[in-house]
Amino acid sequence: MDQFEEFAQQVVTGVSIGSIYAIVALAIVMIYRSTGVVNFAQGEMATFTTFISWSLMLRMDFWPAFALAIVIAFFLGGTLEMVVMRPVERASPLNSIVVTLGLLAIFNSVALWRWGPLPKPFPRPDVFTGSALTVGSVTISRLNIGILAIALLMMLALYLLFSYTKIGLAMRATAQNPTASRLVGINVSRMLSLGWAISASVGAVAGMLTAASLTLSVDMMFAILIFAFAGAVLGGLDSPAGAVIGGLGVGVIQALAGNYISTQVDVLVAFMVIVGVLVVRPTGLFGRRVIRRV
Amino acid sequence: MRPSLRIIAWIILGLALIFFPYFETWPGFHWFLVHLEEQTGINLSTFQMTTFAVWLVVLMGLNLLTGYSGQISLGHGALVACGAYIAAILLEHTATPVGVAVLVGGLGTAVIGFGIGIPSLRLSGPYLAIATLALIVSMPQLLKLDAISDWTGGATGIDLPLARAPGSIDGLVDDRQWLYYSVMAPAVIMTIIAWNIARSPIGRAFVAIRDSEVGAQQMGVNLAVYKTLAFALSALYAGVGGALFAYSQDFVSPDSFSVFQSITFLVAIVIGGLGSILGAILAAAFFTFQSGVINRLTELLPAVDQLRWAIYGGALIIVMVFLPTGAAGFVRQVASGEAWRATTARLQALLPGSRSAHANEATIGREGSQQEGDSDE
Amino acid sequence: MLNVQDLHASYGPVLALQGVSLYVPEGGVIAVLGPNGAGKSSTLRAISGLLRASSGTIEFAGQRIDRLSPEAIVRLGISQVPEGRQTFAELTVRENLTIGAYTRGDGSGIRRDMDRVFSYFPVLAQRSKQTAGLLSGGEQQMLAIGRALMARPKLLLLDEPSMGLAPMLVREIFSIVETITREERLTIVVVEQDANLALDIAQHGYVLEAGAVVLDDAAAHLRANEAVRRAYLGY
Repeated sequence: MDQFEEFAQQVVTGVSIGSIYAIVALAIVMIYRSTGVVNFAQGEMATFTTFISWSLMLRMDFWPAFALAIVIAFFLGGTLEMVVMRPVERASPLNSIVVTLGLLAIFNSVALWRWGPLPKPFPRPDVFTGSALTVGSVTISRLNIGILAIALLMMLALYLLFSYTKIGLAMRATAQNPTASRLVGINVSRMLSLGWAISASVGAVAGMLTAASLTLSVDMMFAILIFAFAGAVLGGLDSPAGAVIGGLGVGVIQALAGNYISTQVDVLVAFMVIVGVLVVRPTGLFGRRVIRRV
Repeated sequence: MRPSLRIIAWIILGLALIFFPYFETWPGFHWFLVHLEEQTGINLSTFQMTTFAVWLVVLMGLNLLTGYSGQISLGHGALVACGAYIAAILLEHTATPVGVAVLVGGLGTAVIGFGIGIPSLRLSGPYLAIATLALIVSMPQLLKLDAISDWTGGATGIDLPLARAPGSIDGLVDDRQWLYYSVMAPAVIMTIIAWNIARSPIGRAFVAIRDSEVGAQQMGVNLAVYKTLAFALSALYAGVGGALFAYSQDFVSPDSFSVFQSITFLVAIVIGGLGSILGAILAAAFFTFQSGVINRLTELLPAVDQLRWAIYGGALIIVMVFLPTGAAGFVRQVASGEAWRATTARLQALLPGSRSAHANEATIGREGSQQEGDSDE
Repeated sequence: MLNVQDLHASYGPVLALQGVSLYVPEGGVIAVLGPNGAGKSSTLRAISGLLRASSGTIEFAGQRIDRLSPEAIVRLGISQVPEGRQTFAELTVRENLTIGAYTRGDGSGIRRDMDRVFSYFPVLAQRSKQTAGLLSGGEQQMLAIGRALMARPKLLLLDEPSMGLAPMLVREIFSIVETITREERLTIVVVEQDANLALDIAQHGYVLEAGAVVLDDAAAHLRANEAVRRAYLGY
């Protein structure tokens, strides 16, 4: 394998890992943009709903369970916003961050209690199995193609939702200016719940894809959350497009660092990315506002 | 409490701390300790009190940062690790006296904290929390790096010789008691310093930043300077605490400092009480004795072990929403006889239909955003 | 059409309104004048539901609205053009207008109304694909008015439309507002620092001081009033 092909292979690998980071980063950015809250429980919520989907898959096929889990995550996210987050949403970041940490702890712990510490094999639908594809000497597994395809589809769906539907427009308006949104008749509280609901659904997809590519375990999303944060900061915490590009970018950086430096420094690389971005360009590549609310 | 009562309480506390290592040699107190541990899981041995002193330093610093200045560090364990490793390396590879190693550990960590803090602190909002979380998650990888494993001992960490009482005072105190004094003394000093900082103009600037960055700026507080100062100060405390940790446990390894430990730090100061010295002391007690209590509860109810984090998480949320001043605030309210009034007021505010009670409140932005928060501080 | 009786409201401990009463007949243009902090904006915010009244009543078309949310009030036909414009900076001009019609479901009617807004404010049509944040202050004011019109209001609340704008531009906007009032048969309450302008288009005016109405008269009489002239008209 020549040097270029080795590089290309790493980029391809990086993009496949990165597409999961991109999805989680997107989920984080969605909530941050609309409510100013960074949801540290994003990863654990995803793990939790993935366990639910795993239980469902014992009783039904992959795709119905997949869809049902997304719906469950939707209601879980919306309910959490209404019940737990609402009292602290407009308070200081300290309060909201501490509350999302509480959620992180709760979801992690309840999953551990309910489903145990042992990793579980997660079913893969047939289209994801079978021989890998090869272009030149660069290979990519069907699973990774599938993950990439689902990630792209979901981003497309979200793009269409936010650009071309009334509800998407209302959510963007709410994120920018809640007062003016109320004056045009938007139920701002409902939009914030909806933001959490969609974000939780997006996270659930990331969780199920992660479980399908590794195994399902209680702590599987933790490192991924860090990479997703790195991606979100890289792209700009308030930019959905930035989150996607940042997440993919972090995946590629991780793959390259793993190949050319050491596989034992991957999380360290994520930390370096975060600090590097904060030093060089605090708004990230696509972010606009440095200070959201003070 | 009346001032004279307060002074008496502090004197009693001081005497108790000084003579604590001798209490357990009294048969009556020994019997009490054994039963306390059997019943509640709380182990009040001299060594556990030494550990308490270590965490007291760490949590005092975290409370200066989070409780007073409102900045959040989710990876404070990483700073503790810095102090622990600096001290351990000095003690292992050089003939540095323990006191110097602790001091260097603290100052070195303050410098590191300064370096990490500057980029994140230029920004408002969640950046420091994100950066510190990433730091603690990557800390084991950093400590295991081959390039520095000659110093850090890689995955195995550093084994230090046991702390020994100097020969000159042989017979007066044994090694365990010596360890207690040599950790508790700096802990008490650091607490008094923190108490003074909190009451100084610096402490007031921290609080102003926490309450409103814009307001603080209008009062002439330089945000960047004070936020960085708060972080460096808390890093200093974390470093000293870490150095004392290495010295007292005579062992450090990358696994001594986990993400969940750092989150427990935060759980502890929130439950203990943000923005209060008493809160930090209660937090250290919580942090030190919680695992014993959880183990005891697990004996009674096996699910507790796995649900421990759900309990902590639930406690975090409940305290944050209902009792933002934590246990320390509650203690103060009880002491001033206000607990009942404050609790009912808070419950009333949350009941449906309370809108009319707040009818005159501005509903800028959205409803349900009333913050009773720290109003009774 | 709108009847406000003895309205009291406050921001936390700060009293904003201490007994404001005003009456707005259908098809009328009412000016609310007064110095800074007199409660002019608070009155509008109370009518649109952003500021909850602690006592007093607001009746619109025979219905009590003082306990309704802003969302519900918009649906009844009251649109506010908020102080400082408050356009959605990251949405395009067209999206800002589309969101203005959020409460409506009649697609063809919305398109017709958007064309009408574009005909009142041709510059918005030229810039329909730009994000609102890139517009000038005057254009943003036009957009804010256009956005409010998109809800098909019966009553339009204008909060300081002249704020921060060049006098020429203000005249232009006011003359367009006058046209709109005539053609759409709108009822308008306009809050203004610039009393001259406001009394030009209004039939009736209220003068607020310290959260209460101190004077209430036909626009022409207010113009002639010595105190008003000295305090607000500057001659």
